[in-house]
Amino acid sequence: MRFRPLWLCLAALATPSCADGGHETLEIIVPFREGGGSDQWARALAPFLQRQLGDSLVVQVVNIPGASGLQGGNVFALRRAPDGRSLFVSSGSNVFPALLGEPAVRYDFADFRGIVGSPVGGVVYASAELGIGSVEELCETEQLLVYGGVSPTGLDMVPLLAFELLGVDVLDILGYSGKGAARVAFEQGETNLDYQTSPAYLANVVPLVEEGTAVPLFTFGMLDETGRVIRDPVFPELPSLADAYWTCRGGAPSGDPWDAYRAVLVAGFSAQKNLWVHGDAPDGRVQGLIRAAAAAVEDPDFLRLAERLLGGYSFYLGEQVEENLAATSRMPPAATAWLVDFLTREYGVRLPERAD
Amino acid sequence: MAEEALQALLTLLVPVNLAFMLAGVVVGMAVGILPGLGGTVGLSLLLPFVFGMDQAPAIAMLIGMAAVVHTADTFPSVLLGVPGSSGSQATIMDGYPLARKGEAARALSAAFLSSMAGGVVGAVTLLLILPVARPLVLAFRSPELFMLALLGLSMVGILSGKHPLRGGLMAALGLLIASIGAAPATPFYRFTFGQLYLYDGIPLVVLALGLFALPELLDLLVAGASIAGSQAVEVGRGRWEGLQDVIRERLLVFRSAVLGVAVGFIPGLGGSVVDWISYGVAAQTSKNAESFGKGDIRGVIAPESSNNAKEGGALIPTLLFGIPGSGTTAVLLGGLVLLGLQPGPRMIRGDLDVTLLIVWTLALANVFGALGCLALSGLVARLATVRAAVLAPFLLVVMLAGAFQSTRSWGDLVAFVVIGLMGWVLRRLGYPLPPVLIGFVLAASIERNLWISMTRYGWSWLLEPGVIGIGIITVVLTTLGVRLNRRTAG
Amino acid sequence: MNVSRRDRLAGLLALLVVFTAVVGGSLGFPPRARIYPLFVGGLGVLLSLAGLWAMVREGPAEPGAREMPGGTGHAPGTEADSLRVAFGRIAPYLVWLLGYFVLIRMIGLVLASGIFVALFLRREGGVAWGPAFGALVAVCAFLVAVGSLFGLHWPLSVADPFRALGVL
Repeated sequence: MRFRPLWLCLAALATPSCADGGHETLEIIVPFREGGGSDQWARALAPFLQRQLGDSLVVQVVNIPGASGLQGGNVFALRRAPDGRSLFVSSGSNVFPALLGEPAVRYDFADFRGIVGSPVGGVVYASAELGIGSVEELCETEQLLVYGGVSPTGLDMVPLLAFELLGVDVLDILGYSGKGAARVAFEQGETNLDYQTSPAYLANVVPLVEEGTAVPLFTFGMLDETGRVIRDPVFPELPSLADAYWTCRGGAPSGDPWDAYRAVLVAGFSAQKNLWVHGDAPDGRVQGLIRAAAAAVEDPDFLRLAERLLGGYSFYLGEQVEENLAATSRMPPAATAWLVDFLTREYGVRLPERAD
Repeated sequence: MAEEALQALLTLLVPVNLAFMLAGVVVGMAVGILPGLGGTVGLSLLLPFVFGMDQAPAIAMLIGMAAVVHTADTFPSVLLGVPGSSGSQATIMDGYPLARKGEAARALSAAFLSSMAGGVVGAVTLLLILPVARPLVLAFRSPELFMLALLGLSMVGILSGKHPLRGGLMAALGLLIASIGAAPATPFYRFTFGQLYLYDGIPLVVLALGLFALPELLDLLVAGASIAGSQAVEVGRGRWEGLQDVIRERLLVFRSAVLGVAVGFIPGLGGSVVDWISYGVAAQTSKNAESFGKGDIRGVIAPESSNNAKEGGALIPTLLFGIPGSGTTAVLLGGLVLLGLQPGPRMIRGDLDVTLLIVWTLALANVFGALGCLALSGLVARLATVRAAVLAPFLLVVMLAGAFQSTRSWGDLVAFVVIGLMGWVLRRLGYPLPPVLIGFVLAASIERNLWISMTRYGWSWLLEPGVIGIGIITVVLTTLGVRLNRRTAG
Repeated sequence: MNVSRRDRLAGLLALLVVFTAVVGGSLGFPPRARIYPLFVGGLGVLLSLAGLWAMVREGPAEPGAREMPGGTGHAPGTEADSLRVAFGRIAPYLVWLLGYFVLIRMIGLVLASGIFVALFLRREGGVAWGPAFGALVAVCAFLVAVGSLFGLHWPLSVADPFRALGVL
């Protein structure tokens, strides 16, 4: 859409670049509605990419919502030319269905090349009324634990697996319209166990911790290069789930449930937001985009914004994006089978037959 | 807090901030007038400019835009009988009959003045209850939310005239249409017939346009008349009369505004039903209520006052809990986050100045928006005098351009026509269509909250005092409604 | 507007069929997804049965449905207008609509809208060619302006001259 620069020029009172015309657009497809987390991520990054790419290329965020993020992915994979002028934002919501073999998914991350990505963490906390102050007490408590979530196959899969690994008996109330609504339910006392992603935790739960109504218990942790679950860099004082497992079970976590946990942790958190380009896009352009992204995420103005928006994790670039997600698809078949069985048994989830 | 409030007002009155607010108001009016566009589209236009701006002008612009969408969306509701956006659904009940009687200008001016008053009352109420708002929001748990959704659904009884059975059938149809797409709490897609388009369900815009606009256009074309029919000469007059109507009904304006704030602040429910509830309550508590639904100006005043006041209420969960209270506030939330604000408890403690600025912008933008729409109303009301054969193609183009970009999919076109034909047949058979819309917007709230209540509390939630209280109100309102309808019929 | 007894019966039966199908279909859903459609479908079945029962009870001499609020039934053609006759009247306009959609699919929303408006005004509105052409230009200009201002995106068509020119 070439008119847009013209309109932008009008608003900016005719900067010199408006006269020469001949702009090319760089489209960033966000497969969700305006205002959501992925949209904020893309819109925060876009102006800084623009700053690096110069005026010849106009960066434009385009929302193609639908089917929980699948529609935008399908449009990107099937209908956009692989010319390096269309990018695509993935998040946990459109990675999980691909992971679980949802038939409506027509894209494959193996066909894309990564530009830039960022992790996010998650903190599990409990109501102070339970009188639980630590993971140890969580595992030993006899009280009714009530967890509020959205859907067993979304990001909630991570905490649900975590409770399963720890052997904590939890009443799961799924069906809230979002994690925000689930947090309100926690404040209302409707639930007493919850998790929030790092930025939401910092903004909305830390005040509760300060006033003494909520107690942080553990973080989901983060996957390092060797595939180990380490402590969350933003919350180094909190135990990771691996630490929590030691505390409750008295040993190192292993086995199918643990492999499944690590795979969904990557897809949902450790590699949560990623920017992709078609794999067969011209290599020069892809390299240029990676260089621009590398410079953009170093921009001090961007870092300030990202700190508030994302909680202060460091970004990763290029092939690292692909490697991170590949860790997900390398989930051992036995772990996949266990996960499918777990979801079916506990949550009545009926998963489609996997093609492979 | 008075001192901070004054300080925030002075910040807003700085010319730069005021100018950006007016820019937001203009955009909000534009997207409100065009059916099918709404706050989301307005926000996506403004977002690129938000970067690099100071907080104050950016907030003035975003809130200015969001505040007036529900003022301007009255145009299509009154003139075409098509809900301009989710906020002005109930305005069609009496607004459109007024337009058909040639009193479009009266209806519009009454709507805008009550929008203005409602918006200001909403902002003031927001200011007053801000310190105690958190516990208020927390009082509504899933069982109470479910009961409130039922209360909204009971408005169907009032809207169905002599045939409550037909109204019930249509509400069930709306509840059913809403079940298309992803089921909550489990990854399963219902009634999608393998179509990816249906995975997210039918968009509200497409449903509203299909249900109301297409049947109306078709019948107007067949009649070969204009909307105002033989009363066409009179149109454009009555603007002054409309303003007087509002002044005479000032109590109703105030009452509806307070109701709007109250329903608006309840997260996840307020946005879509507040105008129906307000309309229903007005119809049941007013004298000589027989004329409601046939072009009673009070049927315009009540929902319009409420739907602007609602934005004040809807900001409470948005700002204090970071969860949107209506469609527009959902996108607004994204804008605020990009400005470096993290909505949450700190909005009253640390960022009180920002919160107060938002309140003032809301109030002032409502005034400017209403004045702007009032200025346009005489001109736009003339649309009601244009022959259908000339007006229809233009309207169809504008509506398609709006509806078609909601999901950017061919499915929108197919759904528009299928729903339109269904609506035409149902209307032809004497079924009331507003209940379809009410059922549709309440469905998610009903299904989610009932499921959550049952899994969390078993049956014991039925004995909660809040549940019983809302239940009693529902029963009383429904009984009154049935009695009212019987009186009208007899 | 009077509705014939036959049409009303057909309408109720159609609704009954839809709601019954919903009940039947949702029986195959997984438990958590099933409850809601089962309940709504069941409600619909009950209400349509009640409607049928009411029709049977009130007998053939039904006084005629009252006009509904909101929908403003002031549809043309009056009294004993059967649904089929009424549909015959709107059918030509549905053909217009269909033609418009095909045009959108072929040449994109912008130009298709312009052409549709011009032709419709000419054929149905009795407007002269001059103003009709003016309308074509105005509609295209309006859509291009609104589209670029608000950043609207419409689905791609087979061949869209505006997109080819790089305007949208």
